[in-house]
Amino acid sequence: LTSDEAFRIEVDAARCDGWGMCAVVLGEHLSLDEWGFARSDGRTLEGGRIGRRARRAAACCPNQALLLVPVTGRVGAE
Amino acid sequence: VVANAETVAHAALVVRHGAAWFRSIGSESTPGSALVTLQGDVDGAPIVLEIVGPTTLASVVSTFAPSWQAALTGGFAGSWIDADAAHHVIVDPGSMRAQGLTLGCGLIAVLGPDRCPLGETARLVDWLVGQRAGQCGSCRTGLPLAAETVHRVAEGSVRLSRAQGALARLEHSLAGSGLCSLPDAVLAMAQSGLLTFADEARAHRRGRCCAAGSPRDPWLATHGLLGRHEEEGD
Repeated sequence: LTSDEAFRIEVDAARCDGWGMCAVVLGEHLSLDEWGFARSDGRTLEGGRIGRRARRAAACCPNQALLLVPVTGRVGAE
Repeated sequence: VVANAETVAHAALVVRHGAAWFRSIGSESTPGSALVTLQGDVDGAPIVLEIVGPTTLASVVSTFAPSWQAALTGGFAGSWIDADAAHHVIVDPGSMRAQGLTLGCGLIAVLGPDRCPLGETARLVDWLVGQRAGQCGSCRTGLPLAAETVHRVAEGSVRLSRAQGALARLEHSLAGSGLCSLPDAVLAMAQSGLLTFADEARAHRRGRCCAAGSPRDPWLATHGLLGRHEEEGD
């Protein structure tokens, strides 16, 4: 993932143990369900600023459960 | 297209008689015949049937089971339909989908008149929950709560509307959250059970059960469809 590439955040539900730190770092795109497990809003994100924060959110997960997936092409652009 | 016995049987018919002939049977959305399996409280079960032309679920089941109260269609994670409603259900994947039901794998599990539908729904949910891989946290945590909710309805220890609300909330939390769709399927079946057997659930709440007698053996377990551990645990 290059610094200004569009991406979205995916949560690997099998890895997530509900530490919850990702939602503290990036609360506007990551929420916790009623048991504390993370969910991503799945939106396409772009720009260096949000990219840095997303990488920080991913880095602070002890289980490495966050994936930053590059988005190529526009989904639902029509 | 799924490479199962039905597909192979259909392919042979198409090769022998041609596509036009095949399309002349069955419905617009689902051409050809349908293969279904009758299970549960049916003499001689399992029975595999080929259904040609529009046939109601009621007529299919009643041919083999003179007296029955409901059927679970589409496998264990399918939809419950009571015997009255079955008069308005055509056994065809397309038209069943349009009614919010599923024919799925073609399994029609028939529930005899002497069994408690809520008890059986609870046992099925238990079994399915026991089959989960337990990989995703919300499923590991949430699905046992769904099983507990259905059990409490069967015990009559919770109001139906409360239980339905609890299942709807669980569905909201669990649907699409994990790596597989087991939670979605279990919750859909549980909700279909509570909806179909709403009168029974209210009777249980008042301390009564509509099931006429106590059945001789556990439903479906007799055919080895539910695990042995479950039979022993009963």
